[in-house]
Amino acid sequence: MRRLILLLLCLPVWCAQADEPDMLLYGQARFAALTERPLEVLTLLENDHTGATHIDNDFHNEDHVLAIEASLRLGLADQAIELADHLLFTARKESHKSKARLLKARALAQQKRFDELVRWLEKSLSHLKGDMRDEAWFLVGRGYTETKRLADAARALSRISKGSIWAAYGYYNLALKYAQDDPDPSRAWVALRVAAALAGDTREGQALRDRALTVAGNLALEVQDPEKAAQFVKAVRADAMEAPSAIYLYGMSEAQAGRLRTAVRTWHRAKKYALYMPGVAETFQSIAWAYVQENLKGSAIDAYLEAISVYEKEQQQTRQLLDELRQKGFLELVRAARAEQKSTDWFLNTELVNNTPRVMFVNALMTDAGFFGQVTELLQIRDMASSLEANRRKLAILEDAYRRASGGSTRQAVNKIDRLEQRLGQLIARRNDLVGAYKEALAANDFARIGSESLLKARKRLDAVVAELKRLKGVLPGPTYRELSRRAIRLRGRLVWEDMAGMDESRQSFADRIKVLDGLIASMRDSISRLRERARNGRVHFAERMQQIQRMRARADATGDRLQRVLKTMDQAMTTEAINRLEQHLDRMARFHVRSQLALVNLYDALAVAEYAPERVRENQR
Amino acid sequence: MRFILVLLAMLLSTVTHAEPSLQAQAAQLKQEVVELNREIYELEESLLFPADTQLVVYVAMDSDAPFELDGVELTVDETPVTSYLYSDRELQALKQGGIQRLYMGNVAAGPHTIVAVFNGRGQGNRYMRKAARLRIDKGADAKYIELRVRSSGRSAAVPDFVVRDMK
Repeated sequence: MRRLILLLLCLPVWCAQADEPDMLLYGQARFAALTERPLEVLTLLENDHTGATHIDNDFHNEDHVLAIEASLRLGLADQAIELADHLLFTARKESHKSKARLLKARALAQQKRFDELVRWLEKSLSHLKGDMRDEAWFLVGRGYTETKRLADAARALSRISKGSIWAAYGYYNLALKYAQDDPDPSRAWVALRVAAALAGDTREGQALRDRALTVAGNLALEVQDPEKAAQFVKAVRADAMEAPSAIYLYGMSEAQAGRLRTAVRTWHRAKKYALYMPGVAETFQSIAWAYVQENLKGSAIDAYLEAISVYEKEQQQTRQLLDELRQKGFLELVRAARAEQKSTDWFLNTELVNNTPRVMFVNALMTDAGFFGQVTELLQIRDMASSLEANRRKLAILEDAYRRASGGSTRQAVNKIDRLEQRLGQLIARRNDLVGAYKEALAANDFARIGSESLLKARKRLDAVVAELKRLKGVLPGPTYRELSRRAIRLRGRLVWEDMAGMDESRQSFADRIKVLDGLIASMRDSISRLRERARNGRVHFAERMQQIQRMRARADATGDRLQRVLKTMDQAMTTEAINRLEQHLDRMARFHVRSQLALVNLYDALAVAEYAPERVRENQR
Repeated sequence: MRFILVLLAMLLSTVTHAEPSLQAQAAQLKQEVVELNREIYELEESLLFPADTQLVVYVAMDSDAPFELDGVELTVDETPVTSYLYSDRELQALKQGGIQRLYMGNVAAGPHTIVAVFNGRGQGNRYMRKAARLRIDKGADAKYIELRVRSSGRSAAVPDFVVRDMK
């Protein structure tokens, strides 16, 4: 963490003007952030590979903002707070400082440190403007709501600008607290009405309004105010997640008002939804009950038979799901549900009718805020484990490739150096032979061997001439032969004279040549020695790299194993929780099933009695 | 006294055996994974793409570029090296200032030709396929190239496709 701050802050003093690398780094991190890859954001921003940023640099501050947001997305609230404090300290622009203040508040809220959150925002709010200010007031409201200071929460929420969805969220949360704590639902209704009115027409706003209206309707029914309940729930959209609950509640309000036919007609609309959705299972019984109340016993029997069949089917499907959960765990169930629902916002999919029981169960779980938080954490850990696993594979490939490459190239280099050294040895041997022969000739006064090359050639030519002369001895006239012989002897004498005269020069020249040769040999020896050193260093370099890779592999393996253990433990906990919920659902279905069967038996009894009674009367009359 | 000692011993054993909560373990592990990822990323880059041969190609878009980018094909010295198809979310990220690292590879020092082919839809949802070319001279340092789609200076309805050496 400190390293991230240091990298973001200190590295780059020397490249303050390097705008393009900064822009590239920021742009890449922004791309990763906007495509929902917070882990990549942090990887990039802890990396100075494309250049670095500088304290007095807008990109640096924006990088910080991205890093804080990514940390929050990954549930690393401590890191987010540390980064936000750092940004507050270093940023010069008020816009960056404001973002840091708000992001720190979000991190405190994520950690549920509500008292600190309120204190922090009380001193920061004057610096915030626009939507950031609205969100800050919402967070203050949340802080007060969670610490049960509901009047203060209401005051905070009243400061949010008109038309901001933050106000709607705030009033919704407040209403839930009022509903929990106060038996009189008036204040909760007011808050829910305000939330619904402020929610706006965005997809998010509409979903919030549906939720608020359903809660308000439920509260109204609890205090036996069917007209008010109907008023609320009939405004819920047909494709909302809350639609089945709203339909059930609307039917209930009609029934409470004595309009049973309308209630039945309403309830029929809820039959298409999955039984895990609140209100759907009740709907089947309610229809049958309403027929009984209307004295339509035949219809009631049909309705109970249908209910029994639906509950049986639901129990069977729930048992299958339970088996799947017990065998594969919750994570696998979520994965399968995700695969079935191809939409990106899979848990927001409101295709309530066509979804499978698995998808419906997972979707229903996700509407529970506590469960949603745990699943998010579980999925984050799972994604991190996958990313680490991919990196482990990369490291294995790298290690393998490096081992092969380093082994091959080092062997080649060593062989080459050996061959060079062999040739150098041969050269030195020849040089030594030459020097030895020279010394020998010098000791034997063999000037001819030491003499210059031209004299040596002349001597050879003279030897050839003398040999030719000897061959022609009988052919040439005597005086000519003698004359030529004398001239040959004179020439030889001249050559000896020349040899002796050039002796010093020739000796010096030989010594110079040997010196040059020795210089060359020494330089070659140095080169070979340097090559050997380099090869040795290369081996060291490769070895260091290999060690680096291996160290990293070991760390990745250890972290991966720990991650898997934590993942398994979390998955087990979630599996247990999901099993509990499914078992509760199964029990509920079993109870509905039994109740429906009993009701059916009672109905048949009543029918039988009704048929039997007139017969008895007739019999008695006879 | 003995009771107090036993109590203390029990307390100590509780303290020494107390493991951090699962949440704390998860947070610590997440932090470690972030750090490890970064180090592996750096190592991989330095081993596979050393600066003296490194070539990196980025894709960017101006927010007002009149073009819906479907995909990019990239060739270096007439060899196709990569191609990429963009999702809606990625396209929006590009239009909001995000920069995508499209390709990272190795090339020898010397002259090279880079050709980027942009596929997508222009004004009136009309399909367009445009190529942009750049000759670069690779030196001893890493080479960064930017492929950018922007609105043309001639007409706001016509996109410009630029391949730029970032030096």
